Amino acid sequence: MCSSVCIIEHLSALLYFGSFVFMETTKTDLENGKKKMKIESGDTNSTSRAWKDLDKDVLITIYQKLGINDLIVGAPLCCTSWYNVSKDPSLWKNVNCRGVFDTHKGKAVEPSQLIKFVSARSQRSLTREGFSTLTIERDRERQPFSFPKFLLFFLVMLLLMIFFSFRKVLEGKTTIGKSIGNLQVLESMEVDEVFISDDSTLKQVSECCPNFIKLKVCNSVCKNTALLIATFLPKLKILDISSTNIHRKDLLVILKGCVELQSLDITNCGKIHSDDEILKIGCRRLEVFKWDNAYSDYCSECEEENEDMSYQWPCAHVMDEGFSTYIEGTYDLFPFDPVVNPVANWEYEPFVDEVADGASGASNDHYDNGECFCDLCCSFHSDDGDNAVIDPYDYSLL
Amino acid sequence: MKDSFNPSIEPPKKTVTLVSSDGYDFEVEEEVALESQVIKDGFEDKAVDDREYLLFNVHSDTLELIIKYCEKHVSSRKSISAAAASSSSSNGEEALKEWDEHFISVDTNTLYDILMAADYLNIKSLLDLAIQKVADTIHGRSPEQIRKKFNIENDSIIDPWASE
Repeated sequence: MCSSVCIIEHLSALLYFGSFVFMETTKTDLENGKKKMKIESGDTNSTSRAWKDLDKDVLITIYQKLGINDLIVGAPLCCTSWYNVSKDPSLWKNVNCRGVFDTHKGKAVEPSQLIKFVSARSQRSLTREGFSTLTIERDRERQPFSFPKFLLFFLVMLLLMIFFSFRKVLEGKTTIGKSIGNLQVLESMEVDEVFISDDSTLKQVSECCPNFIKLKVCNSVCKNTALLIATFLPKLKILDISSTNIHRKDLLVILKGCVELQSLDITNCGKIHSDDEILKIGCRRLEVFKWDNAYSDYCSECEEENEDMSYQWPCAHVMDEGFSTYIEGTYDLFPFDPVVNPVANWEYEPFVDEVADGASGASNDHYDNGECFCDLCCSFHSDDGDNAVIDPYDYSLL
Repeated sequence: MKDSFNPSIEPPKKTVTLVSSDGYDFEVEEEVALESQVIKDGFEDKAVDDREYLLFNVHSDTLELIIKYCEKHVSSRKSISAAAASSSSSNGEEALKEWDEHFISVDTNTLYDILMAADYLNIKSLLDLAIQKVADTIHGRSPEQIRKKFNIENDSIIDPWASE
């Protein structure tokens, strides 16, 4: 009995002493304004944090840093609150589906399924809480158009299908046409040509998307597509068809059809002749016009070599740059497949010698029969190539 | 932190007291504290001897990290501008980036604390750093992996791919 009392006394004394020391430490800590040891037990680091209830704005910023892959099958599917945040319209204004995953949970995701999902999600969120966006858009349109400012406010809604196989593309094409009908606030689209090459998609756009003003076409633009753009998108303001090898005739069709066009990008489509109608229209009417350097039929290097001006156009110097760079739509005019026979591999040297020596009997057929590689900038009258005469350029194509 | 109390520095630097949620005082230089937009707003209105901020949402462990970050950024910004003034080449920015990367390589709990504190104190560069870290952690992971990583319980969310 006694011993137990003694133990208790000891314990209490120890406790008292302990707490005294403890308090002393705390006091000095606070006095010094420095932290030397922890008051509380260090379990703050072991309790799990409420990631689930992360601040909405912070989470949206995190989502903005993720790709569409993650947004569709990743983080938002962790828990309900994260999923609800992922419906925020600001995340779905700019949707680029290019190269999106092709499987989810082992199943292949059909392009049509994906496009439905994206359009459903953006549409639902926009109808629910996205009207401020719409209002801003309308307000802005009343203001005088100023391009840099416009770009800043530009709310892009990119819609792009993926290529898995051509069959799937064809399937997806019908769906994309239908789904676009649901995207009434769609302003911009970035597509491969195959999705707009039949009339259904662009027709849908022209009927359902009054705000549609920006189009980017990838890969190629053929005659039919150009005609469709000119027909269905007369209100188009920004057109980006860089690297598409568009034919100059088709470009003129677009320029005549899209009367409200303000920005045009035809870089990497080829050079334009300095007298070309496209340049005149472009510089007169467009606020932003991006194009590669113009070329002229005059080659200073050749002139030095041939003072009598008898050199042929295009001359070897021009051809060294590669024919496919000219905007004449060489992809269908040119007798060689540029992929199979890259320009760089051709032998030009005999041609140069030929001109310099004035010799006949050219080894290259396409020189002999007077085909012009630029086709529109010049043409040869002569059949034998000996007395080739350069014609004045004919630009009266349209 | 201790360096800020070096008595040899002339003139004595102005300091601000930050009080963590668990009651610790942290005395920091004024310009370090001003990294926080929240402290900066209305800082001039406060009396000089009343520059004490009670940070109810920030634990001392986190506050120590935050102060470390701010001090590093203030000092390296000075050295970078000094290097620029003397037109001597320096890789100060790269070094700072590396330091940031090392700084933010923490477990998810600490990351959460830093994220919350940076949001609360409105320190933009730190918030960006933490957000980028979270985004990098999330990127490319399946929902199941993310749940495990961040210790989020599965509240049986319906897979929209099944419903839509």
